[in-house]
Amino acid sequence: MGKKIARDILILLGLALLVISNVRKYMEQISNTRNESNGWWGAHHSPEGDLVQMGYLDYVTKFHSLIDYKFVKPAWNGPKHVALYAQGDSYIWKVPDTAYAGITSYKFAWRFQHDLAYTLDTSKRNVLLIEMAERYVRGYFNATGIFNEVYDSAKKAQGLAANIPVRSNVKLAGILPDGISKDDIFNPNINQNLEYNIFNYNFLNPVRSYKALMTYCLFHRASGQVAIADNDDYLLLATTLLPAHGNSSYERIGDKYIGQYVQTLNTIYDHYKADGFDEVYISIIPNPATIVQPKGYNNMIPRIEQSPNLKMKVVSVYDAYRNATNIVYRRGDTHWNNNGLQIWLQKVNEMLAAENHKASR
Amino acid sequence: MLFNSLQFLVFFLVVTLWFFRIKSQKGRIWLLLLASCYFYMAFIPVYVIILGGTIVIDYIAGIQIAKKRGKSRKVWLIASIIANVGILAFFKYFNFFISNINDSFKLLHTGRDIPLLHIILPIGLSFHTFQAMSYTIEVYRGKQPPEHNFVTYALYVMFYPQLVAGPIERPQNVLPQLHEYRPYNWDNVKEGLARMLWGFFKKVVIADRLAMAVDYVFGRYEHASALALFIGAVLYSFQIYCDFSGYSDIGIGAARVMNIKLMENFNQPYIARNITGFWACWHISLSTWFRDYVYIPLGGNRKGEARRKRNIFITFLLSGLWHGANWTFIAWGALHGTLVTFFHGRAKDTKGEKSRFHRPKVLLFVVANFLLVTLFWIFFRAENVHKALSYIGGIFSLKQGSNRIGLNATELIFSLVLIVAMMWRENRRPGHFIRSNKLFGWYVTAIVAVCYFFGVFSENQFIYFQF
Repeated sequence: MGKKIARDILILLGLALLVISNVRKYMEQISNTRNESNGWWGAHHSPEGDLVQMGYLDYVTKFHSLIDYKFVKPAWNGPKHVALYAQGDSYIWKVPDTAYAGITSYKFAWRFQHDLAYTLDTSKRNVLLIEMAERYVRGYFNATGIFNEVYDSAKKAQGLAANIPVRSNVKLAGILPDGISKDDIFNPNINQNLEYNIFNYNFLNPVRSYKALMTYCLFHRASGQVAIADNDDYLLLATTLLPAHGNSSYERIGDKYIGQYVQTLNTIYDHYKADGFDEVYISIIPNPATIVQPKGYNNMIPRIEQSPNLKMKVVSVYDAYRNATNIVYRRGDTHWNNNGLQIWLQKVNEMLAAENHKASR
Repeated sequence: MLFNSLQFLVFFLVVTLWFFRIKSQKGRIWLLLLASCYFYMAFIPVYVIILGGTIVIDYIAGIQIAKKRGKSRKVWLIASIIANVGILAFFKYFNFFISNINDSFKLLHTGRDIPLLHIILPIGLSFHTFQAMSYTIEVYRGKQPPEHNFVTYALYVMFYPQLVAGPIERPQNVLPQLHEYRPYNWDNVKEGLARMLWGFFKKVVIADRLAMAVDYVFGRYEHASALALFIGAVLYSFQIYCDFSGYSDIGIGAARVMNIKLMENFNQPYIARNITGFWACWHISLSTWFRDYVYIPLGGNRKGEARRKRNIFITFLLSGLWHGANWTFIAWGALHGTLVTFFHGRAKDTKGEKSRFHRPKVLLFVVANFLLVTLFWIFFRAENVHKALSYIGGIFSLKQGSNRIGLNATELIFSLVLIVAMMWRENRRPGHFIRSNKLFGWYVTAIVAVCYFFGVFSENQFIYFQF
């Protein structure tokens, strides 16, 4: 009898795990709670860097690097004309509006998480800044999916944006209940979610960190998605190092494909210019691998940025990063450190000054 | 759904426990069929429709073949084969065919270019197509009665432990087992779990570790030294073995837990002393499929030496093509076909020799055969024939270059120790049954600990899934 009860409990637990790990709504609720918790049930979190966290390298201190961002209000004496709209990622989501020079307003949306719905004020100079980490460029600019995420709220409401590519996460109309999509039944991230629900608890951290330490000491390797840079000073995202991967800095990219990305950027540029933006900028943040170990780099960023056919304006940090005397990335993180951030802010603020100047004329 | 994923582990736990909760065979068959559908749909859901389509066709064909007399039987068999081969040809070979035509156009400077189709190969298509064909052929030959229960037949094709990468089963083995209600059997559960754990060990501890070196060397072969290229090729031989046989172990073990015995797929191929011996022990379910349904119908060895050689060569060429729509696989099949043509009939005591492989002469043959197989694997792994030839050229020209292989010395030595341990264990203790519960408990604990602490977890797909 006891065995039968145990069996039925296990079946129910297993089913519950599969359902919870499939449905994004439940996962969001769970992760919102557990990510904030420091209790034993909380999820592993390392302030020393996202790659330290992903690789459980809590015991390998040489890669530890805390966030050191300093946001200083830039000096600005002139009139302010620019309304800045930014679609970006984790690089700039913490940048406050006070860090930008000469803007009247600032609206930011984190790509893939929130849409950037705008209503342009024609009395201002409206500037759209598309910031993107290099590893996402090829996947994102294969198509013009940005039209689904950055749009005029009024036009969207009127359905004028209907003739644009739809999201891949399509609801199976008429089959599934409201709020449930195909991805909630065959969730592509289910294994990460299961790993999170079964193993990612603070009380298990020592075991996992011990495994990571052992792998590092014995094989001089980080596990899973994290790799160690050739110079041994940085952790890098493994996919950015692979000889064949869409995120990689080293996969060879033919001129044909560079041409296609440029063409997509031009289409995006024309679209938002026609929609009322005065200027549209792209700012590609190099993969740490691109800067830290440039040998064999596929030169994607300079090839796109310097393409004579590119209409979109560029806020480039590529050369500045390559020539920087101080390190520009955190050692155990996919993101920049304060030096890298300040270089980017300086470039953006130069752009904003130029846009204000244009508006004043 | 990958076998080496958490999703599979939870899925397996739920399905197996539920399986034993059900007291009727009908209910169990339904459960396994629904579970297999979910398992398959976890890759690309819509492709279950294609699989369902072929199941319906073959189910009807099987019944009609048994019912009809004379030429009608052959018509139904041909219809079934055309449906299966047609789907395989369309999804797997259409773009290959068109790109070769386009290449010919380029050579002739015609300026024509036929557009390719944006199609993704349904996972495991080659496996379940062949398994389905074996059913209709066996019914046609009168060796297997038709299956009248549609759900049971659908499960024969879709049974999740062997759905996407075999073993390619025969109806005589599986269908009777699906009809028979077998109560919970702890010995089978132990044997199945031990086998699954061994498969996980081979996949996540050995194959995925070697994959890091293999990917590194093959990805940078232009800059690698001859030594690095050689090591990369040797490690690939073991990677593909541990990967594929590990998959088979997990599949066979998972079925065994539920009291279903699937056919064996490997028998220590790397200690065979010649190429014929290798093929008697590598991917046995496919080799015997080609033997039964291609080689023998072509005439086998019944029509003279020349015809025998021709039949062997054709069989291996088709086997190469079965693995993928790429000239590398065709070249790989042709190379094996040529060698087997030469050796076939000369190695009469392969099994006996295997057990005495410590003898110097036999050991020499074993090593030579392994190196030859390794050389041919380069075609299997390379993206195209040109790269394969460059890679091989790099080895034989004793090329200078980087000796890095993506693993440090400790990890390389560790990998070699694992390989030796794996080979030794499979040679000395090929079975997986552990009588003592206490010993079984220790075995499970040890393998789980080794898999956890030394496993490489990056959701690497099994190599044979692509076929």
